[in-house]
Amino acid sequence: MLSEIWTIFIKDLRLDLRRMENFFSMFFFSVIILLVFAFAMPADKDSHIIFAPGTFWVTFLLSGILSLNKSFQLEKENACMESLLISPISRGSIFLGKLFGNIIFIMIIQCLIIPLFSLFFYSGFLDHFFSLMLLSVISAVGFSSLGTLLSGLTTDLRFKEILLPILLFPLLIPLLLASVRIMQGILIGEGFSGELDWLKLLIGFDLIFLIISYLIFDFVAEM
Amino acid sequence: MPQTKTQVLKIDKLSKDFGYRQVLKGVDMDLAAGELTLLLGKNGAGKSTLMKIISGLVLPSGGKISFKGQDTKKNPQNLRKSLGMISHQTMFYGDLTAEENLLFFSKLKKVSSPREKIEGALHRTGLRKFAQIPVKTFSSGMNKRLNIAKLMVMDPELLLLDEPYTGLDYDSIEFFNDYLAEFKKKGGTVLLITHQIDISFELCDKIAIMQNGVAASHMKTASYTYDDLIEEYQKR
Repeated sequence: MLSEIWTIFIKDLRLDLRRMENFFSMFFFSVIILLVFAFAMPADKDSHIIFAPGTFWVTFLLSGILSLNKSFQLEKENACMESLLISPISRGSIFLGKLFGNIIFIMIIQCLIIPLFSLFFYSGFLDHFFSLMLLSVISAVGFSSLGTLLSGLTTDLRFKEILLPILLFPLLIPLLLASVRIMQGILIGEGFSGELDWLKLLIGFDLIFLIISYLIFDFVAEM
Repeated sequence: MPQTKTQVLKIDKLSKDFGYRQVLKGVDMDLAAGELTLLLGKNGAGKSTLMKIISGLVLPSGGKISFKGQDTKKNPQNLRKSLGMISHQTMFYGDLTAEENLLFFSKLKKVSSPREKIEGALHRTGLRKFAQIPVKTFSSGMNKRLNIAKLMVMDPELLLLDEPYTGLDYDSIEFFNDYLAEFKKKGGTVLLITHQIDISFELCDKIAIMQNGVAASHMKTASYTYDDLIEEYQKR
Protein backbone atom coordinates (compact mmCIF):
# COMPACT_ATOMS: atom_id res chain seq x y z
CA MET A 1 0.00 0.00 0.00
CA LEU A 2 2.83 2.41 0.84
CA SER A 3 4.32 2.03 -2.64
CA GLU A 4 0.92 2.83 -4.20
CA ILE A 5 0.55 5.97 -2.05
CA TRP A 6 4.10 7.00 -2.93
CA THR A 7 3.53 6.41 -6.66
CA ILE A 8 0.39 8.58 -6.69
CA PHE A 9 2.06 11.26 -4.55
CA ILE A 10 5.11 11.46 -6.82
CA LYS A 11 2.91 11.58 -9.92
CA ASP A 12 0.90 14.49 -8.47
CA LEU A 13 4.06 16.30 -7.45
CA ARG A 14 5.50 15.82 -10.94
CA LEU A 15 2.32 17.15 -12.53
CA ASP A 16 2.35 20.16 -10.18
CA LEU A 17 5.94 20.92 -11.15
CA ARG A 18 5.02 20.72 -14.83
CA ARG A 19 2.03 23.00 -14.27
CA MET A 20 3.64 25.81 -12.36
CA GLU A 21 0.59 28.00 -13.03
CA ASN A 22 -1.11 26.31 -10.06
CA PHE A 23 1.77 27.20 -7.80
CA PHE A 24 2.06 30.78 -9.02
CA SER A 25 -1.68 31.45 -8.82
CA MET A 26 -1.71 30.20 -5.22
CA PHE A 27 1.37 32.18 -4.29
CA PHE A 28 0.33 35.48 -5.83
CA PHE A 29 -3.18 35.13 -4.48
CA SER A 30 -1.71 34.73 -0.98
CA VAL A 31 0.56 37.75 -1.46
CA ILE A 32 -2.37 39.92 -2.55
CA ILE A 33 -4.45 38.93 0.49
CA LEU A 34 -1.54 39.64 2.83
CA LEU A 35 -0.92 43.02 1.18
CA VAL A 36 -4.55 44.10 1.49
CA PHE A 37 -4.70 43.17 5.17
CA ALA A 38 -1.31 44.73 5.88
CA PHE A 39 -2.49 48.06 4.47
CA ALA A 40 -5.77 47.92 6.37
CA MET A 41 -4.21 47.28 9.78
CA PRO A 42 -2.64 49.67 12.29
CA ALA A 43 1.14 49.54 12.04
CA ASP A 44 1.99 48.81 15.70
CA LYS A 45 3.27 45.48 17.01
CA ASP A 46 0.44 44.87 19.50
CA SER A 47 -2.23 45.23 16.81
CA HIS A 48 -0.30 42.91 14.56
CA ILE A 49 -0.13 40.22 17.23
CA ILE A 50 -3.90 40.47 17.69
CA PHE A 51 -4.92 40.66 14.03
CA ALA A 52 -2.13 38.87 12.19
CA PRO A 53 -3.18 35.29 13.08
CA GLY A 54 -6.63 35.87 11.58
CA THR A 55 -5.05 37.28 8.43
CA PHE A 56 -2.61 34.40 8.22
CA TRP A 57 -5.31 31.73 8.43
CA VAL A 58 -7.62 33.50 6.00
CA THR A 59 -4.70 33.49 3.56
CA PHE A 60 -4.05 29.82 4.31
CA LEU A 61 -7.70 28.95 3.78
CA LEU A 62 -8.24 30.82 0.53
CA SER A 63 -4.98 29.74 -1.11
CA GLY A 64 -5.51 26.18 0.13
CA ILE A 65 -8.83 26.03 -1.67
CA LEU A 66 -6.99 26.62 -4.94
CA SER A 67 -4.80 23.61 -4.21
CA LEU A 68 -7.78 21.41 -3.40
CA ASN A 69 -9.69 22.49 -6.49
CA LYS A 70 -6.88 21.35 -8.75
CA SER A 71 -6.34 18.10 -6.87
CA PHE A 72 -8.94 15.99 -8.68
CA GLN A 73 -9.01 18.24 -11.73
CA LEU A 74 -5.75 16.52 -12.77
CA GLU A 75 -7.57 13.18 -12.72
CA LYS A 76 -10.64 14.43 -14.53
CA GLU A 77 -8.74 15.41 -17.64
CA ASN A 78 -8.74 12.58 -20.19
CA ALA A 79 -10.69 10.40 -17.72
CA CYS A 80 -7.50 9.50 -15.82
CA MET A 81 -9.60 8.91 -12.71
CA GLU A 82 -11.21 5.97 -14.52
CA SER A 83 -7.78 4.58 -15.21
CA LEU A 84 -6.90 4.92 -11.52
CA LEU A 85 -10.15 3.34 -10.39
CA ILE A 86 -9.72 0.26 -12.55
CA SER A 87 -6.16 -0.21 -11.26
CA PRO A 88 -5.73 -2.92 -8.64
CA ILE A 89 -5.18 -0.50 -5.78
CA SER A 90 -7.34 0.44 -2.83
CA ARG A 91 -9.36 3.66 -2.96
CA GLY A 92 -7.64 4.54 0.33
CA SER A 93 -4.26 4.64 -1.45
CA ILE A 94 -5.63 7.14 -3.96
CA PHE A 95 -6.95 9.28 -1.10
CA LEU A 96 -3.70 9.19 0.89
CA GLY A 97 -1.54 9.83 -2.19
CA LYS A 98 -3.61 12.90 -3.04
CA LEU A 99 -3.73 14.00 0.60
CA PHE A 100 0.07 14.02 0.92
CA GLY A 101 0.32 15.84 -2.41
CA ASN A 102 -2.01 18.55 -1.12
CA ILE A 103 -0.20 18.85 2.22
CA ILE A 104 3.20 19.22 0.56
CA PHE A 105 1.86 21.75 -1.95
CA ILE A 106 0.32 23.84 0.85
CA MET A 107 3.50 23.61 2.93
CA ILE A 108 5.66 24.87 0.07
CA ILE A 109 3.39 27.90 -0.21
CA GLN A 110 3.45 28.42 3.59
CA CYS A 111 7.25 28.26 3.53
CA LEU A 112 7.24 31.27 1.25
CA ILE A 113 4.34 33.06 2.88
CA ILE A 114 5.70 33.14 6.45
CA PRO A 115 8.74 35.31 5.54
CA LEU A 116 6.44 37.59 3.52
CA PHE A 117 4.12 37.72 6.48
CA SER A 118 7.01 39.02 8.58
CA LEU A 119 7.85 41.55 5.89
CA PHE A 120 4.34 42.98 5.63
CA PHE A 121 3.58 42.77 9.35
CA TYR A 122 5.91 42.75 12.36
CA SER A 123 9.38 41.51 11.39
CA GLY A 124 9.79 39.64 14.70
CA PHE A 125 7.35 37.01 13.37
CA LEU A 126 10.23 35.45 11.45
CA ASP A 127 11.81 34.45 14.78
CA HIS A 128 8.92 31.98 15.14
CA PHE A 129 9.36 30.52 11.64
CA PHE A 130 9.75 26.90 12.71
CA SER A 131 6.91 27.02 15.23
CA LEU A 132 4.64 28.56 12.59
CA MET A 133 5.69 25.93 10.05
CA LEU A 134 4.97 23.16 12.55
CA LEU A 135 1.57 24.67 13.27
CA SER A 136 0.92 24.92 9.52
CA VAL A 137 1.78 21.23 9.08
CA ILE A 138 -0.62 20.20 11.87
CA SER A 139 -3.39 22.39 10.47
CA ALA A 140 -2.70 21.31 6.88
CA VAL A 141 -3.35 17.65 7.83
CA GLY A 142 -6.91 18.38 8.99
CA PHE A 143 -7.55 20.92 6.25
CA SER A 144 -6.31 18.60 3.51
CA SER A 145 -8.04 15.49 4.89
CA LEU A 146 -11.46 17.11 4.76
CA GLY A 147 -10.59 19.09 1.64
CA THR A 148 -9.36 16.09 -0.34
CA LEU A 149 -12.50 14.15 0.51
CA LEU A 150 -14.83 17.00 -0.44
CA SER A 151 -12.78 17.82 -3.53
CA GLY A 152 -13.28 14.22 -4.67
CA LEU A 153 -16.96 14.47 -3.88
CA THR A 154 -17.54 17.69 -5.82
CA THR A 155 -15.19 17.12 -8.74
CA ASP A 156 -17.92 15.97 -11.13
CA LEU A 157 -20.45 18.55 -10.04
CA ARG A 158 -21.31 21.82 -11.69
CA PHE A 159 -20.10 24.92 -9.80
CA LYS A 160 -17.60 22.75 -7.91
CA GLU A 161 -15.34 25.79 -7.33
CA ILE A 162 -18.17 27.40 -5.35
CA LEU A 163 -19.50 24.23 -3.76
CA LEU A 164 -16.19 23.12 -2.29
CA PRO A 165 -15.67 26.18 -0.03
CA ILE A 166 -19.38 26.24 0.90
CA LEU A 167 -19.13 22.66 2.15
CA LEU A 168 -15.61 22.89 3.55
CA PHE A 169 -15.43 26.19 5.43
CA PRO A 170 -18.15 25.52 8.04
CA LEU A 171 -16.58 22.16 8.87
CA LEU A 172 -13.19 23.82 9.34
CA ILE A 173 -14.34 26.26 12.01
CA PRO A 174 -12.85 24.27 14.95
CA LEU A 175 -9.55 23.93 13.08
CA LEU A 176 -9.43 27.65 12.31
CA LEU A 177 -10.29 28.73 15.84
CA ALA A 178 -7.63 26.44 17.28
CA SER A 179 -5.02 27.54 14.73
CA VAL A 180 -5.65 31.24 15.39
CA ARG A 181 -5.42 30.83 19.16
CA ILE A 182 -2.26 28.69 18.99
CA MET A 183 -0.65 31.16 16.61
CA GLN A 184 -1.39 34.04 18.98
CA GLY A 185 0.37 32.04 21.70
CA ILE A 186 3.37 31.49 19.43
CA LEU A 187 3.59 35.19 18.47
CA ILE A 188 3.61 36.40 22.07
CA GLY A 189 6.40 33.97 22.80
CA GLU A 190 4.51 31.29 24.72
CA GLY A 191 5.05 28.68 22.03
CA PHE A 192 2.66 25.73 21.88
CA SER A 193 2.53 25.29 25.65
CA GLY A 194 0.41 28.41 26.13
CA GLU A 195 -2.56 26.99 24.26
CA LEU A 196 -2.37 23.28 25.02
CA ASP A 197 -6.13 22.76 25.02
CA TRP A 198 -6.42 24.26 21.57
CA LEU A 199 -3.51 22.14 20.40
CA LYS A 200 -5.27 19.01 21.65
CA LEU A 201 -8.42 20.09 19.81
CA LEU A 202 -6.43 20.64 16.64
CA ILE A 203 -4.71 17.24 16.81
CA GLY A 204 -8.04 15.58 17.66
CA PHE A 205 -9.64 17.28 14.65
CA ASP A 206 -6.78 16.02 12.42
CA LEU A 207 -7.11 12.44 13.63
CA ILE A 208 -10.90 12.28 13.45
CA PHE A 209 -11.18 13.75 9.96
CA LEU A 210 -8.17 11.85 8.63
CA ILE A 211 -9.74 8.54 9.67
CA ILE A 212 -13.29 9.47 8.63
CA SER A 213 -12.19 10.84 5.26
CA TYR A 214 -10.04 7.77 4.58
CA LEU A 215 -12.96 5.46 5.34
CA ILE A 216 -15.57 7.48 3.44
CA PHE A 217 -13.42 7.96 0.33
CA ASP A 218 -14.26 4.42 -0.76
CA PHE A 219 -17.88 5.45 -1.21
CA VAL A 220 -16.96 8.79 -2.76
CA ALA A 221 -14.86 7.00 -5.40
CA GLU A 222 -17.72 4.63 -6.20
CA MET A 223 -19.98 7.61 -6.84
CA MET B 1 -17.44 -33.35 -29.49
CA PRO B 2 -16.99 -29.55 -29.22
CA GLN B 3 -14.41 -28.42 -26.68
CA THR B 4 -15.89 -26.37 -23.83
CA LYS B 5 -13.97 -23.21 -23.12
CA THR B 6 -13.30 -21.94 -19.61
CA GLN B 7 -15.82 -19.36 -18.56
CA VAL B 8 -14.10 -16.14 -17.52
CA LEU B 9 -16.84 -13.56 -17.10
CA LYS B 10 -20.47 -14.24 -16.36
CA ILE B 11 -23.03 -11.47 -16.46
CA ASP B 12 -26.30 -12.39 -14.82
CA LYS B 13 -29.53 -10.35 -15.14
CA LEU B 14 -27.64 -7.06 -15.07
CA SER B 15 -29.79 -3.96 -14.94
CA LYS B 16 -29.09 -0.27 -14.72
CA ASP B 17 -31.38 2.71 -14.51
CA PHE B 18 -30.41 6.33 -14.30
CA GLY B 19 -33.62 7.32 -12.53
CA TYR B 20 -35.45 8.57 -15.55
CA ARG B 21 -34.38 5.85 -17.97
CA GLN B 22 -33.66 2.14 -17.70
CA VAL B 23 -30.63 1.51 -19.85
CA LEU B 24 -30.03 -2.18 -19.10
CA LYS B 25 -32.96 -4.51 -18.45
CA GLY B 26 -31.47 -7.80 -17.39
CA VAL B 27 -28.42 -8.45 -19.55
CA ASP B 28 -27.08 -12.02 -19.53
CA MET B 29 -23.75 -12.79 -21.13
CA ASP B 30 -20.93 -15.31 -20.85
CA LEU B 31 -17.38 -14.59 -21.96
CA ALA B 32 -14.93 -17.47 -22.25
CA ALA B 33 -11.15 -17.69 -22.36
CA GLY B 34 -9.68 -17.25 -25.81
CA GLU B 35 -12.87 -15.69 -27.11
CA LEU B 36 -13.59 -12.29 -28.61
CA THR B 37 -17.17 -11.12 -28.26
CA LEU B 38 -18.30 -8.37 -30.58
CA LEU B 39 -20.86 -6.20 -28.84
CA LEU B 40 -23.04 -4.28 -31.27
CA GLY B 41 -25.94 -1.94 -30.85
CA LYS B 42 -27.25 1.41 -31.94
CA ASN B 43 -26.22 4.66 -30.23
CA GLY B 44 -27.63 4.77 -26.71
CA ALA B 45 -28.28 1.03 -26.57
CA GLY B 46 -26.25 0.78 -23.35
CA LYS B 47 -23.05 -0.81 -24.66
CA SER B 48 -20.67 1.62 -22.98
CA THR B 49 -22.72 1.53 -19.78
CA LEU B 50 -22.42 -2.26 -19.74
CA MET B 51 -18.67 -1.97 -20.18
CA LYS B 52 -18.37 0.59 -17.38
CA ILE B 53 -20.38 -1.64 -15.06
CA ILE B 54 -18.15 -4.62 -15.85
CA SER B 55 -15.04 -2.56 -15.13
CA GLY B 56 -16.52 -1.35 -11.83
CA LEU B 57 -16.69 2.31 -12.82
CA VAL B 58 -20.49 2.37 -12.65
CA LEU B 59 -22.56 0.52 -10.08
CA PRO B 60 -25.37 -1.65 -11.45
CA SER B 61 -28.95 -1.30 -10.22
CA GLY B 62 -29.35 -5.08 -10.12
CA GLY B 63 -27.81 -8.33 -11.26
CA LYS B 64 -24.45 -9.92 -10.75
CA ILE B 65 -21.09 -10.15 -12.47
CA SER B 66 -18.69 -12.99 -11.76
CA PHE B 67 -15.07 -13.04 -12.85
CA LYS B 68 -13.49 -16.50 -12.71
CA GLY B 69 -16.33 -17.61 -10.48
CA GLN B 70 -15.95 -14.79 -7.97
CA ASP B 71 -18.53 -12.03 -7.50
CA THR B 72 -16.87 -8.79 -8.62
CA LYS B 73 -18.84 -6.83 -6.03
CA LYS B 74 -17.36 -8.86 -3.19
CA ASN B 75 -13.89 -9.16 -4.66
CA PRO B 76 -13.29 -6.31 -7.14
CA GLN B 77 -9.48 -6.57 -6.93
CA ASN B 78 -9.59 -9.99 -8.57
CA LEU B 79 -11.02 -8.43 -11.73
CA ARG B 80 -8.97 -5.23 -11.58
CA LYS B 81 -5.72 -7.20 -11.50
CA SER B 82 -6.66 -8.85 -14.79
CA LEU B 83 -8.39 -5.99 -16.57
CA GLY B 84 -7.24 -3.97 -19.55
CA MET B 85 -9.39 -1.25 -21.03
CA ILE B 86 -9.55 1.14 -23.94
CA SER B 87 -12.34 3.71 -23.85
CA HIS B 88 -13.40 6.82 -25.76
CA GLN B 89 -10.99 8.95 -23.76
CA THR B 90 -7.22 8.66 -23.69
CA MET B 91 -6.95 7.94 -19.93
CA PHE B 92 -3.42 9.37 -19.83
CA TYR B 93 -1.98 12.40 -18.04
CA GLY B 94 -1.33 15.03 -20.69
CA ASP B 95 1.60 16.64 -18.87
CA LEU B 96 3.44 13.36 -18.37
CA THR B 97 5.46 11.76 -21.14
CA ALA B 98 4.41 8.50 -22.76
CA GLU B 99 7.05 6.62 -20.78
CA GLU B 100 6.10 8.29 -17.47
CA ASN B 101 2.44 7.44 -18.01
CA LEU B 102 3.20 3.79 -18.69
CA LEU B 103 5.60 3.62 -15.78
CA PHE B 104 3.03 5.13 -13.43
CA PHE B 105 0.30 2.65 -14.34
CA SER B 106 2.69 -0.31 -14.38
CA LYS B 107 3.85 0.59 -10.86
CA LEU B 108 0.23 0.64 -9.67
CA LYS B 109 -0.23 -2.81 -11.19
CA LYS B 110 3.11 -3.98 -9.83
CA VAL B 111 4.37 -5.14 -13.22
CA SER B 112 7.72 -6.90 -12.92
CA SER B 113 10.68 -5.24 -14.72
CA PRO B 114 8.41 -2.53 -16.14
CA ARG B 115 11.06 -0.44 -17.89
CA GLU B 116 12.04 -3.29 -20.21
CA LYS B 117 8.41 -4.06 -20.97
CA ILE B 118 7.64 -0.39 -21.60
CA GLU B 119 10.57 -0.05 -23.97
CA GLY B 120 9.48 -3.15 -25.84
CA ALA B 121 5.85 -2.03 -26.05
CA LEU B 122 6.76 1.48 -27.23
CA HIS B 123 9.04 -0.05 -29.83
CA ARG B 124 6.32 -2.43 -31.07
CA THR B 125 3.72 0.35 -31.28
CA GLY B 126 6.12 2.67 -33.10
CA LEU B 127 6.16 5.21 -30.27
CA ARG B 128 9.70 4.72 -29.06
CA LYS B 129 10.94 8.01 -30.50
CA PHE B 130 8.02 9.80 -28.80
CA ALA B 131 8.65 8.19 -25.40
CA GLN B 132 9.92 11.39 -23.79
CA ILE B 133 7.26 13.67 -25.23
CA PRO B 134 4.23 14.84 -23.18
CA VAL B 135 1.14 12.92 -24.16
CA LYS B 136 -0.86 16.14 -24.60
CA THR B 137 0.97 16.69 -27.88
CA PHE B 138 -0.09 13.26 -29.24
CA SER B 139 -2.67 12.84 -31.99
CA SER B 140 -5.71 10.65 -31.28
CA GLY B 141 -4.12 7.81 -33.25
CA MET B 142 -0.92 8.06 -31.22
CA ASN B 143 -2.98 8.04 -28.04
CA LYS B 144 -4.71 4.87 -29.15
CA ARG B 145 -1.35 3.28 -29.95
CA LEU B 146 -0.14 4.30 -26.50
CA ASN B 147 -3.20 2.57 -25.08
CA ILE B 148 -2.21 -0.57 -26.98
CA ALA B 149 1.31 -0.22 -25.55
CA LYS B 150 -0.24 0.02 -22.09
CA LEU B 151 -2.14 -3.22 -22.67
CA MET B 152 1.10 -4.90 -23.75
CA VAL B 153 2.88 -3.78 -20.58
CA MET B 154 0.01 -4.66 -18.23
CA ASP B 155 -0.58 -8.03 -19.84
CA PRO B 156 -4.26 -8.36 -18.81
CA GLU B 157 -6.48 -11.43 -19.08
CA LEU B 158 -9.69 -9.57 -19.90
CA LEU B 159 -9.90 -6.73 -22.39
CA LEU B 160 -12.78 -4.27 -22.51
CA LEU B 161 -12.49 -2.26 -25.69
CA ASP B 162 -14.83 0.60 -26.49
CA GLU B 163 -14.30 1.86 -30.04
CA PRO B 164 -10.57 1.04 -30.07
CA TYR B 165 -10.20 1.57 -33.82
CA THR B 166 -11.21 5.23 -33.80
CA GLY B 167 -8.33 7.39 -35.00
CA LEU B 168 -6.11 4.48 -36.01
CA ASP B 169 -4.60 4.39 -39.50
CA TYR B 170 -4.69 1.25 -41.64
CA ASP B 171 -1.31 -0.07 -40.46
CA SER B 172 -2.19 0.49 -36.83
CA ILE B 173 -5.53 -1.29 -37.25
CA GLU B 174 -3.72 -4.26 -38.75
CA PHE B 175 -1.17 -4.19 -35.95
CA PHE B 176 -3.92 -4.00 -33.32
CA ASN B 177 -5.84 -6.89 -34.85
CA ASP B 178 -2.64 -8.94 -34.85
CA TYR B 179 -2.24 -8.11 -31.18
CA LEU B 180 -5.83 -9.18 -30.46
CA ALA B 181 -5.36 -12.45 -32.39
CA GLU B 182 -2.20 -13.17 -30.39
CA PHE B 183 -3.99 -12.20 -27.17
CA LYS B 184 -6.82 -14.63 -27.92
CA LYS B 185 -4.38 -17.38 -28.76
CA LYS B 186 -2.79 -16.95 -25.31
CA GLY B 187 -6.24 -17.50 -23.74
CA GLY B 188 -7.24 -13.87 -23.27
CA THR B 189 -10.87 -12.75 -23.29
CA VAL B 190 -12.10 -9.72 -25.21
CA LEU B 191 -15.32 -7.74 -25.19
CA LEU B 192 -15.22 -5.36 -28.11
CA ILE B 193 -17.60 -2.51 -28.92
CA THR B 194 -17.18 -1.04 -32.35
CA HIS B 195 -19.17 0.39 -35.19
CA GLN B 196 -16.40 -0.65 -37.58
CA ILE B 197 -17.77 -4.17 -37.85
CA ASP B 198 -15.90 -5.01 -41.05
CA ILE B 199 -12.53 -4.56 -39.35
CA SER B 200 -13.28 -6.83 -36.43
CA PHE B 201 -15.58 -9.44 -37.98
CA GLU B 202 -12.81 -11.92 -38.82
CA LEU B 203 -11.50 -11.87 -35.26
CA CYS B 204 -14.75 -12.36 -33.40
CA ASP B 205 -16.00 -15.68 -32.04
CA LYS B 206 -19.26 -14.50 -30.56
CA ILE B 207 -21.71 -11.77 -31.49
CA ALA B 208 -23.94 -9.92 -29.06
CA ILE B 209 -26.44 -7.34 -30.19
CA MET B 210 -27.92 -4.97 -27.67
CA GLN B 211 -31.41 -3.64 -28.14
CA ASN B 212 -33.86 -2.13 -25.68
CA GLY B 213 -31.58 -2.86 -22.76
CA VAL B 214 -31.10 -6.58 -23.40
CA ALA B 215 -28.36 -8.40 -25.28
CA ALA B 216 -28.92 -11.40 -27.53
CA SER B 217 -25.72 -13.31 -28.22
CA HIS B 218 -24.72 -16.30 -30.33
CA MET B 219 -21.57 -17.97 -31.52
CA LYS B 220 -20.22 -17.09 -34.98
CA THR B 221 -20.43 -20.31 -36.92
CA ALA B 222 -18.23 -21.12 -39.91
CA SER B 223 -21.08 -20.47 -42.32
CA TYR B 224 -22.03 -17.13 -40.76
CA THR B 225 -20.80 -14.34 -43.01
CA TYR B 226 -20.29 -10.62 -42.64
CA ASP B 227 -23.40 -10.04 -44.78
CA ASP B 228 -25.42 -12.26 -42.42
CA LEU B 229 -24.31 -10.13 -39.52
CA ILE B 230 -25.22 -6.86 -41.25
CA GLU B 231 -28.62 -8.30 -42.15
CA GLU B 232 -29.20 -9.46 -38.57
CA TYR B 233 -28.07 -6.11 -37.19
CA GLN B 234 -30.28 -4.09 -39.51
CA LYS B 235 -33.35 -6.21 -38.75
CA ARG B 236 -33.19 -5.16 -35.11
